[in-house]
Amino acid sequence: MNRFMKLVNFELGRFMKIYLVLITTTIVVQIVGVIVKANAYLSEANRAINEEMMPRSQFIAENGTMDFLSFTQSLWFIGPIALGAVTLIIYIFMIWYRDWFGKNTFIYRLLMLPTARFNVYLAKATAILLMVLGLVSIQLLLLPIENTVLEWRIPVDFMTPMSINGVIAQSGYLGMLFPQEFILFILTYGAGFMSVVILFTAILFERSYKWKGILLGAGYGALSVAVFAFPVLLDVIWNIEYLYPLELLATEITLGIIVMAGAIWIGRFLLNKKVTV
Amino acid sequence: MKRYWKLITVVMVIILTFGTFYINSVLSASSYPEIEFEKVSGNEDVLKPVILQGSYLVDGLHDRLKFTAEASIFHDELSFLESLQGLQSPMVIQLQDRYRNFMRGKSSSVASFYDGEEKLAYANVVNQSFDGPPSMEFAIDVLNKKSNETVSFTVPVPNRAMYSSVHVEDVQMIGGNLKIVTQNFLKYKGSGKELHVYTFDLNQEDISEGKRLASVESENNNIFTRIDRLWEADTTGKHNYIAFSKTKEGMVSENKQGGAMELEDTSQVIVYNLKKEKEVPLDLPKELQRADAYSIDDSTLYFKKSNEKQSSIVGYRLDTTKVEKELVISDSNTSKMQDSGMSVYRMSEGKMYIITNYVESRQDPKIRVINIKSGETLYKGKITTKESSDQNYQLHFFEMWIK
Repeated sequence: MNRFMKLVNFELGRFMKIYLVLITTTIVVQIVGVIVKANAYLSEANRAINEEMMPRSQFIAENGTMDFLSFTQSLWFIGPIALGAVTLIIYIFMIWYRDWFGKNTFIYRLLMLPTARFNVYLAKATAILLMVLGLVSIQLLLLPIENTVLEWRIPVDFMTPMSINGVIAQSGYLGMLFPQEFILFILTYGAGFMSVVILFTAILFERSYKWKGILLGAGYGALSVAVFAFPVLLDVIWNIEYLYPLELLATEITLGIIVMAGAIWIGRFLLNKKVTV
Repeated sequence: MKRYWKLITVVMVIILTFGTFYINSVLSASSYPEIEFEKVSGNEDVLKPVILQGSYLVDGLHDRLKFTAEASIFHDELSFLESLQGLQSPMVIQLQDRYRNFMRGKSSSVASFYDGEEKLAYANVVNQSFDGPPSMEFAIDVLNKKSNETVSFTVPVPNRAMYSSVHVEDVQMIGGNLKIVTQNFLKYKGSGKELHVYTFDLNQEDISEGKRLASVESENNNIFTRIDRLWEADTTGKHNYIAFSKTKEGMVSENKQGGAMELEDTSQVIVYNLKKEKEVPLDLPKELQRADAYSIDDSTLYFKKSNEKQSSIVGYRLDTTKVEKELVISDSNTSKMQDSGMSVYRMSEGKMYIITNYVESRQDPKIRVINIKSGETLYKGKITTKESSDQNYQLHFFEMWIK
């Protein structure tokens, strides 16, 4: 356990520089974005009301009030989230490949460690999971701060106040990042973790068998997705609705666990026996 | 311990943030009000079996809700697991509980089921497509409750090339045969519609007879036609009669100067005796000829009649072709508010339940329960929010089930 935690800590440390850049970028860009958006709205309102002599109510009727929800749909807000997502997806691959292609053939030392090689696999998966959740947490902390900044800037008449829970409920993608119920949280991020380990195992296929490995990895990935999506595909493609909704949920959870366990087991096997250094 | 600071920091941030978030969402009050019955007079025991489905609208919030004397449940308030089950009619939920395997993959439309003593029958029309090759067929499943065996088969819909879609309106088993009443939408005659009854021989697993009960034509695109089934208390049970109202709107004719003149919409009631396989001739008195027929039970056809002075329900007995007692349901002082016209009437165990919805906001829907035989009002009340609210809300109920 000690070794495992050491490895996780180590993996987090290696990424920390980029991670802090992502966090800082998100904070700065989003807060600047709130201010910019608020100012843009205010100057538009100013222009219409004071220069063109449009009455307040007409301006509001035509342009609507400012609300936090529309800010969450703007590029200022989505941009940093997209940047973080793309960076982490790339790092799912780089977390492995950097060990082979780094300056010191680090992978030798890593795999020669007096610890089960499997700990390396688990540590990398855990690190990715923690990094994603960490970034999402920072975003969650930022939401009320940004909402308050918006409320400071916009006068009461022009603003539709919204609670953070309200914004999350109405925004499709925010609702996915921050599910309103804990059970949904487990299901969503559990599915995400399942995807990560499938990718890890595909990467290990490539590291074990080179070119053949890429095909094997891709095929393995496709098979995993097919198995997992099977009950849903039955309904969508062939219109066979055999399972009641709760039964479907239970089936999908079971399949998800099986696919996840399969990925981890195969990954462990590849790492122990087949990976070429 | 110090060397693990990166791991510890990240984990702590995650747990604290999400922990607070989820504790907060569990503790925070719902933005939806509690709804309750407010009695004006009568005995609230009659409300025990009532289940209402409606919608609640207020600035920026709009949601469906299910409401009983015990509790109001808004669809947004359901937990993830509960929301998977959806808002289905109590009859379908009951059938799913009792016949779990048989009910798999079946449509949740109550009209598709017949729940008899020995048999549970299901019929649906599948493989319908607007522009593909006409391949629609009946999918039939009949469960023998005693032996637990199911007979399943499909039969192509006769003359299917003529129809753009076919809907099952009722399923009955009479004398060992399966009878299915359908509304068929014509493909080529504008929006014309037909009512058919198909008799199925379960041994042959085929249609033994098909009859057209009624039709309404639409000569051009401005004419709208509708056939609506009149409400019956026991849709899945045994009933001998089935009734429809046929409506035609938007007809125009030329007047003497050659200009267009709007004709009045026509509406006609058709009652069909499923057992005798014959249309029931109606000899409606003048007062009922313009009235709204809305429901039927095994002996009586019910109409809504209203003028400035009062609204009432009139029953017309099918066997004696005479008008039965008239039930006054509201008088002039309450008719001042404009009701939305979407009242819901249901009958159960000799009692009539009426919900009246209003157009203006903050006008709560009213509920009235009347003893059909005596005409006595058993309960009068309204449905409102528990705590009074100054917001402009609109509460409407559009469906009611009596358990």
